[in-house]
Amino acid sequence: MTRTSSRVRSSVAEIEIGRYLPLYNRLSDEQQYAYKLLLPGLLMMLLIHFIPIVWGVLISVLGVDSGYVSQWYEAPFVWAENYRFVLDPRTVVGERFWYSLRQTVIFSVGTLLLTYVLGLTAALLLNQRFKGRFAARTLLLLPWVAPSVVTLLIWRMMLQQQSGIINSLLLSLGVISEPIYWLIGDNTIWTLVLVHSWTQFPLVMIMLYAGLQSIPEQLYEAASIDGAGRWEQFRYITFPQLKPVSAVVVLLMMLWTMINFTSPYILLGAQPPQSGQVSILYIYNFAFSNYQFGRGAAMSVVLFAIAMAMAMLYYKYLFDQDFTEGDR
Amino acid sequence: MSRVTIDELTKVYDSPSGSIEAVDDLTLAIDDGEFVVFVGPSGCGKSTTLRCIAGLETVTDGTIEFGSEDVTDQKPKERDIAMVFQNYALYPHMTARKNMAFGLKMSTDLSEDEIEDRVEETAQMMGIEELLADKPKALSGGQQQRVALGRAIVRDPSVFLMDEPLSNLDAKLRAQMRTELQQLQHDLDVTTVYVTHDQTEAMTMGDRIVVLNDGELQQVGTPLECYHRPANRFVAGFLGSPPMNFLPVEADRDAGELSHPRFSLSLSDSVVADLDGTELVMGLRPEHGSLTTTPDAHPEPDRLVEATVTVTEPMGDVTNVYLDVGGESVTVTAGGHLGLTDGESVWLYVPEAKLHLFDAETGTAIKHSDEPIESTRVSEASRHAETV
Repeated sequence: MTRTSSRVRSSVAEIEIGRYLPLYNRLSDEQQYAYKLLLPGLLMMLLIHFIPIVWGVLISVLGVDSGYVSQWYEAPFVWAENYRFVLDPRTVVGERFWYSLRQTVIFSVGTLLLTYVLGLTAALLLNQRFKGRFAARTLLLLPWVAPSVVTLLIWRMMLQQQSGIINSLLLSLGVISEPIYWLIGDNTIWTLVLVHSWTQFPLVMIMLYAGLQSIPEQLYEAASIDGAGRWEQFRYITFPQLKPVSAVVVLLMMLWTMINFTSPYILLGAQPPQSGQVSILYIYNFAFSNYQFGRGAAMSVVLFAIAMAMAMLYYKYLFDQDFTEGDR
Repeated sequence: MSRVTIDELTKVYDSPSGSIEAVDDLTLAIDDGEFVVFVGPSGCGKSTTLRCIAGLETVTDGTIEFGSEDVTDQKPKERDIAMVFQNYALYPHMTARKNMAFGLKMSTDLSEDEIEDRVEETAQMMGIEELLADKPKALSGGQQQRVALGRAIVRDPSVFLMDEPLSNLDAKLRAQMRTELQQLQHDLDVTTVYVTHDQTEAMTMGDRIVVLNDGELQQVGTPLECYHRPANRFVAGFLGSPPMNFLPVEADRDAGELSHPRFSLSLSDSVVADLDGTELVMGLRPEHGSLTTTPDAHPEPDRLVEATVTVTEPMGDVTNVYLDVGGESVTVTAGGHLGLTDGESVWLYVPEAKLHLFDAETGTAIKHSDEPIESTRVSEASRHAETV
């Protein structure tokens, strides 16, 4: 084993990065080796993440519109004009963009809360000993593993105001007296939260479930001897012990929902009601139906900046040393 | 504080491969304020018994009473107990202070100030005031141990339960904590059940030892009783280090002697009268045998057994000498300055008074050594020391 690994090591060491990057020579051997191993991953990131981001920022300061679609590089440099335009609430576009940001906040915070509650409940149930636990776990994972386009289209059919099964079910149960417009009007954003949460909660569940399983049984024994009942054990042992994994779940759910395109697009289609116009959908519709790529890119960059800022604040305040050192 | 009465306790675990009887019909009374040590090898049922007393395991059969109250079906929190776990089970996200306060917060109506006072007081007693603001991960193993003990003591429970609390400590700290715990228990005067697999802890700490094996009670008694008057071969072999030597022998009642292919030892009439079987096992504690290289000069040459030295282990104060007697290994603890070489022939002196005899089949003890088991001389000695 050692021979193979040393051979791998020496062949990796033969890559001469220092010739192209002078700073590289200042790193220690260990660090140089590490960077070489990271190289394939870094190249991949460069290709699929970094280049599009830079490109997007570039386009956001160019006046790319229908006239320059094929020759975007010939579009005039307009400084921050695109940003000024899309962020100005007095223009129709600006007003709608601000509104879409508000809807995005509802979408991501709503999804976060709902998936966390659902996921935690499901994880706690799965953590009990009962017959068919394995089957239940598989079943509960289905919404997340099934192709989202398929499940979202099915949801769209089920939520139809006239022919959908949801309305007819609620009507026959007497919960509602009139069919509800799920996919039109002001309800749309809540429908979106509901359906998107349904597709996402299994991920939260499985992460929290893993977290639950790593809590030592003895803590519960100690707590029960200390006089804690079931609720107190949850409040003082389970919940604090889940803090590290919860922190990750919250961050991921917030960010992923903010930039989720599939759920709103498939569920609401190309002509979504305004209540369902979350930013990413609005940007897409605005940019591609009007060929306003410069302004669309500007909006994307704003959304990107908000997401980045949130992630950084989150890291700063919630991932405190308690978290990074690990609570256990 | 209360008396703990265990009556015909049985605990059966159901597993896919059949049911396992972890504790079998255990009956035991623990006096108020007594320090009782459960000892036995892994899987002997000592921890299970403790967990039944704690209420962490349901009881299959039998009852457990605290004082006159039947607690068999009570939840742990209703039992007024405190427990110290082997790996401490401190709450990792709480500071030492909160760890100690948690039980009081959950199980009493004390105000925050009162709880705070009691935690401070206990911390002072344990010498851990400085650690109160730290979380468990910032503490060393020994400090965590103290916090865990403090967490139990601050509750002022009627029964302390300790599940191998010292086994995660290094040898030096373990020895120190052993004495400290004993002192603490003595001062607090709380009924304590202590589980260990370490026979040194059992011998040194307990008022009484409860020896268990395979879920069955082997013997209950003071440490010296169990050591010098073992009820059976298991207890005799389990307590003591190096352990008691066992040699299979045949009893010849007519000739009044024990015979082994390599030697025979005469017995006095009173001992012969107690024998009923012929297949016996002879037991001799390593410290009760003595060695000589000049058999002719020995006052009782007929009680000498020829042996060959295989290994010597000089420990400083004593030397453990491993002997070969007709293919079987015998250990003798001799003086620290003993000069013997491996392979040398020696003669082992077996004093009749110190001999143990067990039934070969059942293991039941037939004869014990005559070592005194009362500690009167020791207490007189200590009284003397106090006056000086």
